[in-house]
Amino acid sequence: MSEQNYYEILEVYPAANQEEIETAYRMLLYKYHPDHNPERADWAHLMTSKVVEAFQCLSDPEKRKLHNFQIYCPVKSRVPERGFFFFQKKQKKQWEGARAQFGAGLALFSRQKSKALSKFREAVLQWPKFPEALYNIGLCLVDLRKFEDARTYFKKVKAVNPKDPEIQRTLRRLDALARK
Amino acid sequence: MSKIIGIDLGTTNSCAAIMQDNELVIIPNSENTRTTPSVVSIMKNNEIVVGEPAKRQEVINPETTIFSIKRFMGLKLADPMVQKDRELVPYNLVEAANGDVRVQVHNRNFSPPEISAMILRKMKRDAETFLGEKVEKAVITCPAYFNDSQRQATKDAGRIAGLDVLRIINEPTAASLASGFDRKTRRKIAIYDLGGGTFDISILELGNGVFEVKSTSGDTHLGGDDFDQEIINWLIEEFNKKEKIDLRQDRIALQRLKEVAEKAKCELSARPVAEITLPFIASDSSGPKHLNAKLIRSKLEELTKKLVESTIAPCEQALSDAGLRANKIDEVVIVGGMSRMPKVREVVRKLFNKEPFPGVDPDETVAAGAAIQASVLKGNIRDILLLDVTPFSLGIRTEGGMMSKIIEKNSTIPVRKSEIFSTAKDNQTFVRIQVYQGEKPMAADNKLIGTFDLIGIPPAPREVPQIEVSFDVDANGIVRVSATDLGTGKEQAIKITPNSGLSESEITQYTKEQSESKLPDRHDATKHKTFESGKQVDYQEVKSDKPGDDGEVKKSDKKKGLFGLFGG
Repeated sequence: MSEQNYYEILEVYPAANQEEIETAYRMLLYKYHPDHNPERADWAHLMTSKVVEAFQCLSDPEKRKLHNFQIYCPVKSRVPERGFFFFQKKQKKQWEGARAQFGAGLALFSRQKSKALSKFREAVLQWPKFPEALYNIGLCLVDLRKFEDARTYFKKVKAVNPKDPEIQRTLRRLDALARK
Repeated sequence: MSKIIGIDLGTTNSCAAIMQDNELVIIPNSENTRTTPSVVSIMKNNEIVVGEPAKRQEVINPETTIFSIKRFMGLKLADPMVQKDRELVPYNLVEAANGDVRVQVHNRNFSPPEISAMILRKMKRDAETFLGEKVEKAVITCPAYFNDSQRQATKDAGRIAGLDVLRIINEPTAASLASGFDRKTRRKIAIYDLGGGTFDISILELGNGVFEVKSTSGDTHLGGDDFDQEIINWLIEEFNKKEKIDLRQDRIALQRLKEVAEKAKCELSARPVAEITLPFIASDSSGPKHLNAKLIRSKLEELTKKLVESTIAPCEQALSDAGLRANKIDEVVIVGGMSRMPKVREVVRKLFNKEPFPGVDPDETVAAGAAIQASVLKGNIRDILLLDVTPFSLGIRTEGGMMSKIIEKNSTIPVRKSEIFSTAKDNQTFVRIQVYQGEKPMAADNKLIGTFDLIGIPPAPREVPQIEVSFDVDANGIVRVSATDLGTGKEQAIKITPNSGLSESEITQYTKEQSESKLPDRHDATKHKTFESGKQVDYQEVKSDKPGDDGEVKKSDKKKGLFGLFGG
C-alpha cells in the first residue's frame, strides 16, 4: 500500500506555495463539505476529512518536508526471487522466514510504522543482507523522525548495492530533510 | 422545502431566528419579546408553562419551576459539576438508572432533554404562529465546550420537541457568522462568549468565506448564574449580620433574592449603584424584617473578581492551542448576556489589547448565526462555510489503563481517524474497546463515553486478525465508531453501549407525551431513590442491580487479562 499523496488530494502541484495550497483547500471544502452535500453525507464526511488531513500536513513546513520525502521515496514492496541449491535447505528456510516477516511489515507499513519497523527488523535478523527490508527500516525511522538511525540503515543498503542510483537519491533527500 | 429556524437554546434565555429573503429576522415569542426565558414550570395538573409566565412562578413554586436546565444536560448526577450546581437550584435532582441526572417534580422524573424540549416546543410553536406555517427543522446551538453526551442530549431535546435537528453548531462559531465581518479579507478572530451558565472562547480564522475554528476552550459551568449567586451570598451575609437571620433556610426567600440579584446585576451594567429592597423577607419575634441594601458597581466587581478572572486561563489556553499570541488577533467579539458588564469588557480589552467588535447584540447574535447556518444547509447561501473543531481529545483505553489518543483536541471536524486492533490471545473472538474523552494520560481520569465490543472475529492466532476501527466525529461534534475486518473486508459487528443518554424508545415516548396539550400521568419516581444526603441507605439497594458506571469499569478491568487488546 502506498502513502497517500496529499498534493493529489488537494489538487495542487508539489511546488505550490502556501497561498495556492490555502486557496485550493478552501475551494475543495466548498466542494466536499457535508453542509453543501446533504444528499451524500457519508461521502462528504470522508472527503472533507481527507482534505483537512492533507491541508494540515501541507500547511506545516516540517510535516510537508517529511511528506515530500515519503512520496518520493516509496516503500519497497517487491523483492526479487532468490534461487537455492538443494543443499541450501537451511538458508532457504531462513530466507522464507525473512520474506514472511517482510510481508507482515508491508501490511502494517501504511498504518502503524512502529509495528512495521519491528517486523522488518525481524526479517533482517533472519537475513542480514536483505536490501528491501533494510531500506524499509530506514523509511520507518524517517517517519519516527530518527534521521540519524535511518541514515545508518540506508548506508547498509548502499553497502549491499553500491551502484544503485536510487539509494544515492534517497540519502540526498534525507540530508535535505534533516537540515533545519 | 420547509423552513429551517435557528435556535439559541441558552441557560437563562433562548432565542430563535430565521433567514427570510436574505434577511435575518429574530422571531418574537407569543409574549412578543425577542428572547424567551429558559424556564419551565410544571403545574399540579400536569400543565406545562414555559418562558416569561413560568419565570413569574419561580417565587411562588420554587420546587416545580425549572431554570438553568442546560447546566445538567447530558451529565451524571455524580459529576462534581452537577454536585456543585445543584446548590444553585431549588428543584430536586435524582439519579436515573444509568446515573444520568433527572429532575423530580410532583413525584415524576424528567430528563434534562425533556425539560429543554418543552422550551424548544414553545419556540417552535411561536415560530409557527409568526411564520404562519409548520416548522419541522432547526439548527440548534450549544456551547463549544460541550462534550459528546451533552451534544447528544441537545439533539435529543430537539427530537422530543418534534424538530428535526439538522445541525448542532457551537455558540461562538454561530456568533462569528452573524457578526457581520467582511468575509473576503483574511483575519483572525477571537469570540468570547460569557452567557448565563457557560463560558466559551474560540479562535477562528476567516478567509474566502470559510470560518475555520482553530481552537476552543471554556468552562461549561461558569456564567451569569454564578455572578447572581455571589450577589445572593453577599445579601444573605449582610442580612445575617444585621438581623441574625439566615435566609438560606427559606426557599421562597432564596428565590426572591435570586430575582433581585439578577436585576441588580443588570442595573449595575448601566448605573454605578443599584438599590435592592425586599420587603417582608423574613420575620422574628420582633416582627417582619425587610431587606434594604445598596450595591455599588465596585462592590459587585470585587464580589465577582474571581469569576471574571477565571475566564482568562481558558483564553490563554485557546491562544496557545491556536499557536497565536494575543496581539495577532485582528478582531475580538464579545457575546452572551454577561458581556454587558463593564468589568468583563475591560478584562477582554486588556487580554487582547483591542476594542471589542461593535454592533454585536449579545442576546441575539448566536440565534442569528444559527439561522445563517440553517440557510447554508438549505442551499440558499453558498459562500459561507463553517469548519469547527472537537473540544476534547478522544481515545481508547489500552494496556496498563493508559489513554491512547486517536483524535486530538482541536481537530477540525468532520474527521475520520482509523486504528488497527488485534487480539491478545489465540482464537479470541471479541475485543472490548472503551472510548474515553479528555486530556489526562490515564484513561480512568478521563470521561468514559461509550464501550463497544467487536464480535465475531474469525478464530486465529493472537495478533493476526487486523480490525480497523474508525472514529468519526461528524459536523455536529457527535462521535460514531465503526469497524472493518481487514482480513475479510467485512464490516464487523459492533455493539455500542453508550454511557449516558436517552434510549430510542424513551425519546419516542417523551415526544408523544409532549405532543399532547397536557402531560399524561406517569409515576415512575418511585423506581428511583433520591440521592440526597441522609437518604443514601435506600440508594445502596438500587445500585446493586443496575449496571452502573463503576460496575462497568471494574468488569472490564477483570476482563482485560483475558481479552486485552493492543492498538497503535
